[in-house]
Order: sequence, then structure tokens, then C-alpha cells
Amino acid sequence: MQNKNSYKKVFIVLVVALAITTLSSIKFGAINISLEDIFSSIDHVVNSHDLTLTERIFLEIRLPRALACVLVGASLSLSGVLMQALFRNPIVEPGLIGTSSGAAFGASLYFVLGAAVGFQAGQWTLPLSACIGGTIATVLVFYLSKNKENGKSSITSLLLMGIAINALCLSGVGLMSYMARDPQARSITFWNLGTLSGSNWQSVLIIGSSTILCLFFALAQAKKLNALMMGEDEAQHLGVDNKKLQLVVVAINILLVGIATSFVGVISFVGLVVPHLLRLIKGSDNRYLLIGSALLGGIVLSLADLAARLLLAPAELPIGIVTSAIGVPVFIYLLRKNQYYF
Amino acid sequence: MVTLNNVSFKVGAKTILDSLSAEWSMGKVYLIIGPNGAGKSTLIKLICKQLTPSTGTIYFGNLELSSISLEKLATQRAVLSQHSELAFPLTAFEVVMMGRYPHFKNQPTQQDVLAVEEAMRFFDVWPFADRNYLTLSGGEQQRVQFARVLAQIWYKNENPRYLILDEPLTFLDIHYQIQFMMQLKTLVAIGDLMVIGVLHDLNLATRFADSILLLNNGRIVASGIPEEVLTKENIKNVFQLEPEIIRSEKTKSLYLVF
Repeated sequence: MQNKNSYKKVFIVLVVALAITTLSSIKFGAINISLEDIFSSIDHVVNSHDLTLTERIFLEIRLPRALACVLVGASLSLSGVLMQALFRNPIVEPGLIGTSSGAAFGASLYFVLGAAVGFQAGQWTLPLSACIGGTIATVLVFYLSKNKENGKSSITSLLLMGIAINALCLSGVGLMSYMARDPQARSITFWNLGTLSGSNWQSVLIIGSSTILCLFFALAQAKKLNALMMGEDEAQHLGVDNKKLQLVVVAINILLVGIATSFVGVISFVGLVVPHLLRLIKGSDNRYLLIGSALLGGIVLSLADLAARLLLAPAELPIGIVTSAIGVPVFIYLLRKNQYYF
Repeated sequence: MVTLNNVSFKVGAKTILDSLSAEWSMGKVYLIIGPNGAGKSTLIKLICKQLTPSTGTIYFGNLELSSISLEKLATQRAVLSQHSELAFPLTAFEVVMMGRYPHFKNQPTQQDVLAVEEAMRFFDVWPFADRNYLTLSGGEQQRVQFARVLAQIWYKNENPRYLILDEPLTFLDIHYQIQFMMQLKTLVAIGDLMVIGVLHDLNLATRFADSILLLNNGRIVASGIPEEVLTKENIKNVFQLEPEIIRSEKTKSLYLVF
């Protein structure tokens, strides 16, 4: 079968590109890091020598940031593929249906009121509150956009309800930022526009485990999501339990977006652009889209982060500005091209 | 074998299907006819496990339909609908491969790939294998769907195979309608396959059915070979039109002229 091999070629190109962009995003920044610094710092860590300043910047700031960036990009793109498959529409993504802003509200609520409520689950408290926020917002959007008569959500009502819930959640974030003492939570741009500047090894570990876990769970659903392209009836004739599939996919999606958002804020349109690019390269088989978007998502967000750091260096742009600048034109293009969906 | 045992379906106080009983055996084509609102599509939905009977039981072989999981059912029963949309671009090959999904876990086996190729050749759509399904014409798309649905039950195995037709020929040219029914007859003649379905065209149904079920107001009016069911009286009662019934010299089957 010629398709399987051509997918492999795409994956190889993407892996190489991911390695290159990750390396560049480690190298370039306010201080450029050379390859020698990278090797010597590894040597120093292994032999427990003291680290130079550049080596510490590499190990404690640049490397975790680059990895977090790749993982967040992968998470958001995976989520885009899953939502698009579930709604059978290429213009759905987590930033548009409330998941991201709900997660941001949940996380900011924890920053501000967490101590008062006494809700604690160790290092998982923040991601957990973000997931709860994301769940509530997503479920609200689904539920409220359902047609009263046939119980189905039209894409128009879904997007409109998404706008409403997004506005509500982001005002909630605004209120929390206004009340906050924590410097991270106080920065409203952090939540609304996203930044990777707070990344550390702990966040890499948490986002990493959720991304990998979710990728495997998602791949297990890929065949069913393909069948769903022909509609729920045909999928059922092929043995798919639609209710169960919806539940699993929405749960995976909330985990992906909730955890990513709790560490980096709302980064929109990655989940829209990446699957769209992959479809342009080689069709819509969900097995290909899921693996491809995990790779290409990392590449795209790394490039966006690099741009965010270099365009106004040494100052830093919020990454959400960069992703929106690229994503909005793609969104408008898709909207106009797919007018028959409405 | 498929058995309906006193199957009824109600929505609120309204009875859509009223105590239907029937016994259908393997290797035959059973077609359901009746006017609009007779309950044909509801009956098909019940047989496809999309709806559950309010009372009564449907059996596939010795098993109650309600006890067969959707996954298991999909390995031996395929459904051909009137029209299938596709939300994203895929090649015709990938669409037909969906028919094999119930049979493999992650990657298709050599056997699955072979079934796809054979089914596509059988319906003469193999030349489109690498084409984007969405760029095919309506008739070509429907023939790709034939291949997909038949690929789903392509191989004989320990279980009998069932094909459900839900008005699949509605948007096809007469040439392809006849060709498809001929091909279906070929497949059924090979054995262990049963076809149950609804066709919108009465004369097509009469010509190709081994047995006809005439449905009206949710009840069975008559069932059996076309000669027994399609009497002037039955047709007039159900369709409110008196037909002329003639036998074709060419096909030797009955024709209704209204």
C-alpha cells in the first residue's frame, strides 16, 4: 500500500524538522548558547562540577522551555485533531469552544483562592483545577449549543456559544488577576495571550506525561474517528459506540488542553493551523493526523516561541500574539472555504 | 437466519410498528415494500440496532440482537444506505478500507487489503482507488460505498453474513441499479449471505426479491414470493391505486403499471 510509506516519509521529515527547530529554540534567545556550552554542561552535570552562568541558563531555563514548548504544541494540535474529527468540521479548536479559557479560569482561581479553600493535591493541584475549569466550560458550551428538538449541536451555535463562554471565563480570569497577589497570576497577559517563560522541569514532566498518555489513548480511537467521517449512523454500522467515543474523546481533549493551559495560559489557533497544514500535505486519515500533529505542533509552537523571543529582543512578545497572527488568517480562510458547512 | 418475534415499536402513544413476525433464511433476498409512513425505515433501523423494539424480540441466528455487541455485529452485518457523506478528504481506497475496520485492530492485514481490492474490482471502482473520494461523481461515490459495505462482509467465515439495504439505489442511473442488483444476486448465490432491504422502486424490488414483505400502517399485509404478495387487491388496498399487473417477456418477472 503506497499510502503507508508516504506517511512514513512525512513523519521522517517532521522528526528532523522538530530536532532542528528545538535546537534553534535552545540556541537563540537573549543570550545565545553554543553547542560547546550544551556539551560541556551535560559533562559538568554528569561529573557534578559547578556550572557556568551560560550552562545554567541552558539547563534551567532554555532546555525546559524548549521542551515545554514542543509538548504544549503537541497537546494543542492533538486536541485540534480530536475536536475536528468529533465535530466533523475543520474549524473547531480548543480555544474556540471554551476549553482553553475555562482551564485558564480554573487555574487562576486556584492561584488566587486556592489557599483560602484549602484544596491541595501537591504538584497536580494546578493542572487539576485547570482541567476542572476546562471541563465545566466545555460541557457548558456543548450543552447550551444543543438544539432543543434534535439534540444536535450545529457548528454555528457551537462557535457562538464558545464566544459567550470564552468571554465569561476570560472576565473571570480578569477578576482573579485583579485580586491576585501571586505575581504570575497577576499578569493578565499571561493567561490571555500565553507565555512559556515560566517553564521549569516540573511543568515539563507533567505536560510530557499527559501528552504521551493522551497520544496513545487518542491513537486507539483513530479508526473510530475515521469511521465517524461518514456520520454517526455509518460509524455505528461499522461497530462504533458513538456515545462512548464522544465521552472518551472529550475526556482526552480536556486533559490535553487543561494541563497545557494551566502552565502556559491560553494559546489559540495552534490546534487549527497544524491539522490544516497536515491535511494539505497528505489527506485526513486520523492515524496520520494524530502522529503528524504531535510532531508538527511542536515545530510550529517552537517557531512561534522563537519569533516571540527574537522579534523584540531582549523584550518578549506573548506567544499568543504570534499564534493568532498566523492562525486568524487560516481560520478566516477555512470559514470562507467551508461556508457550505453552515 | 433472522427472526422477528412479535416486534412492535411505539413512540409515545403512537404505534409505528405493530407485532411484526417473520422468519428469513440464508441465501435469499428479502425486500420490504409499502407506502410512505408504512414503517419501512423504522423496521430497518430496528434490524440495524439503531432503535430497540418496544416489545418483542429480533434474533440473528439463535442470538437475540440486543445481546450482540455493535463490534461483533459489524463483523457479520453491513448496511448500505441511500447516501453517505464524508466530512474530510480521503482516497477511495481509504474509504473502502473502513469496511474492514471491524476486522483488524491497528494495521490492516494482507487479507484486509486483498478484500478491499477485490471488492473495488467487483464494483468496477478500482481505477479510482487513489482518487480523492470527494472529487468523484455522485454515482461513483455510491459505487465506492458498495465496495466499502461489501468489503465489510467480503469473506465467508463461521458466522452467516447479512446485508441490509436502505434504499441504496435511489440516486443511481437505471443502468447501475440493474447492474448492482445483478451483482448482489451473484453474491447471494455463492451462499451464506442474506439480504434484507428497502428499495424505492417497486418493479426493481419485484424483479430481484426472493420474497416480498408488504407493509402498511405498521402491519404486515402480506409476505411471500412476489406472485402471492403483488395481487391487484393488495396493491389497491395499500397504495390506493389500481395497477395493471403484467409479466415481462424479457425478465419473466411481474411488473406493476399504474
